[in-house]
Amino acid sequence: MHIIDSHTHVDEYEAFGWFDPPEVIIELLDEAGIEQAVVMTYADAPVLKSDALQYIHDACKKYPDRLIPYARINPHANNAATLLEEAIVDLGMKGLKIHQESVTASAHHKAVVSLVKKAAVFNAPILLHSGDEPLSLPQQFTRLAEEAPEATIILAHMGGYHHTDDAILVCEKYDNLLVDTSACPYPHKIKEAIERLGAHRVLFGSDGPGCNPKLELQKIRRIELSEKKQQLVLHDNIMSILEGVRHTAPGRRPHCS
Amino acid sequence: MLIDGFTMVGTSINGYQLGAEELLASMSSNGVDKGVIVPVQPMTYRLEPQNEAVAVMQMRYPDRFIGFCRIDPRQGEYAIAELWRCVLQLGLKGLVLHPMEEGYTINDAPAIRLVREAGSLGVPVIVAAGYPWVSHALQIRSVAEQAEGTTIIMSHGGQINISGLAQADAFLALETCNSLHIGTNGVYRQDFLEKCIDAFGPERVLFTSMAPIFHQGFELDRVRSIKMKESDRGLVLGENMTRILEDSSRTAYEPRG
Repeated sequence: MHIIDSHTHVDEYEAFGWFDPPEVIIELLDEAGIEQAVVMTYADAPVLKSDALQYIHDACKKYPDRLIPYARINPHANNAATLLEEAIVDLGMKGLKIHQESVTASAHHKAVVSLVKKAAVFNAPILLHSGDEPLSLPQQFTRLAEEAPEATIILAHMGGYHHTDDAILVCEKYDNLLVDTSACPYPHKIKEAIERLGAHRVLFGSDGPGCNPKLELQKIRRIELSEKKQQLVLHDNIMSILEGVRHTAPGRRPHCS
Repeated sequence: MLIDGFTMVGTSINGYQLGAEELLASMSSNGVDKGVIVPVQPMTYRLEPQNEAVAVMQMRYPDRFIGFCRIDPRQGEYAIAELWRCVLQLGLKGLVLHPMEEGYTINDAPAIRLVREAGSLGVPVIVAAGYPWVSHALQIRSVAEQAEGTTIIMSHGGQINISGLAQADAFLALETCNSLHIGTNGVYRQDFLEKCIDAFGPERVLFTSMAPIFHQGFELDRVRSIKMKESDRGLVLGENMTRILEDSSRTAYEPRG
């Protein structure tokens, strides 16, 4: 089965002490038998890392058959919308990542809502952190889901350690919310999410390289899904989302692919 | 000898349950030889009968179970007396503190006193660690500093945070306090465990599943996914717990009269 890991990182960022050039995730993907991975930086462009988008673009150019780029952008930046448009139209990026703790804004902050709506113009998915931290609580996603119903919004980590039930609950309420399985420590909760939301709304992700993709995959194997559901979770769901991304903007031609 | 250093048996007021037979079946299917068993917080709020039940399970399956008692330190003199009863009369081998479920802060004076008492009785202490406000790693280090000589094992790698934001504190606690150890259950980013093993040695890391909250088989997968010297993996998987318990039995308090 062709597998796409919908949540991994490529970055060398001293402040966090995480040094993961593209070769690190490629080696782990090989170990796990995973063909492709969505990648993003640890640091947000342009505030923490001015060249973050170029860095991720270069990494994906090096491994074009393996790595799929998302733009990680701080929505507070004055040029956030422009950067996102350039990333999708000019650099061929496939999605937007926002980490609310890193950018000090909850999911319903107006800057986040604005950038999410911008991503939705391109039909690009938006991966947001979710967990137990004060700016990442799943219940905070309800306002965002209401204000950007056209956006495809993925709750990374399925609510972390103690907000898994909340993550499933808000996804039940809003059709434009999905979850990824990355680092969720509870295989039985992933199974529950699939039962309650449908396998089409649960995406396999590892949050590698820190979280080992092979171990994360083992979590999916342990819940013994039917082959059809595995196919959706491990590949088809993210593939259909990525295929829907439009790399054009009105009145603008891309500079390069 | 593969030892799971932290499991909880009984029916918890917090909505989870695990029976002795069910745990034995899980251990057998996962190749776990022995498990540390700990009472849950029951519907009655009374831990003493739970400690007795754990002692009975330990007597019934001496080759499979290692019983630890669970005590609420806010009970003051009564808590001290219960610790003595559990160790000296019931033959339990360690103490577990769960500040989150019982509702106290780990470095409050009564908890420090109980940890000191455990040290003087020569038994190790497991702390349900990483819960913000009540048991984060530096609060536990504060306890360790005031209860010198007591072996303390922090569950969850000493931190519960799915952004990795609490890892620096857990690392600092381990770096500055040799009596602290970590359990592996639910740890976000396996490279944190690898970093701890590199920095402090494999002797400070123990396999704990914290079943039934976490899945014993998947938590074993987690330990097996750690990139470390194969010759050292046995330490994490059981030899460290064996050593800690043997050290305890050597230094154990001799009851008077």
